[in-house]
Amino acid sequence: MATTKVTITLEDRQLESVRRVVASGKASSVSGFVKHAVEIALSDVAGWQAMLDDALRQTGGALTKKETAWADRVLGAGAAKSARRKRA
Amino acid sequence: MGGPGARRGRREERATEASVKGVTLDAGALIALDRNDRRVIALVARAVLTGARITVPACALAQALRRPAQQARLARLARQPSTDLMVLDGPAATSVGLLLAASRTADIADAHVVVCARRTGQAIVTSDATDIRRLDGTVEIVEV
Repeated sequence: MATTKVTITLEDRQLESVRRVVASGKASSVSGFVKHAVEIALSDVAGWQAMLDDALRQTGGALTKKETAWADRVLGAGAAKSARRKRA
Repeated sequence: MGGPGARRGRREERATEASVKGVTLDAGALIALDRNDRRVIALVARAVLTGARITVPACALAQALRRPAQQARLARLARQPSTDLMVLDGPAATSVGLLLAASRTADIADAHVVVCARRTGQAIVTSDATDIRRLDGTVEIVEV
């Protein structure tokens, strides 16, 4: 599998914890541990989408146009109100 | 160059940038999500699709999370990169204390929700609008 070397910044305490895990033999290297963590996080994101789709199915199916419009209005409402307050 | 109008324009631009599209959930909203409330599910699902942020004040999560093994939805929400789990750190604690003093109320968790919503410029999703209004009558509220 192709790989690319990237630079990431971790908190000191995180790096110390990862190094402890590697030293204990539970992970092969810091890089291996981070790759494992990324894989879990990606799986978590995909699983979250599936969980929400399932929740929608359980409660009546895909969002209607009306529900979508309402949700989009609410999600943008705070930002819009804040901008309106500043303009007033 | 840069008269009063331009300065006002820049201020508006900053205010808009400081407002994060999304919602702040209180404990009631988190419990509603856990209990299959369609409106909260709709908000979270649309947030995922549109890239909006979900703010979860840590105090609200503490109130809502009682059986993590059975509350997979809440546990997973808290772990998402699109979720901002807001801790009650020193500056937030000061803001919470000032808000409680100004409103002559005592609910730290609700006050933390309001402080988070003010910081993000987001609407608050709550099961008890009255309690939130007592703390801030101007914040946008969605009752579920």
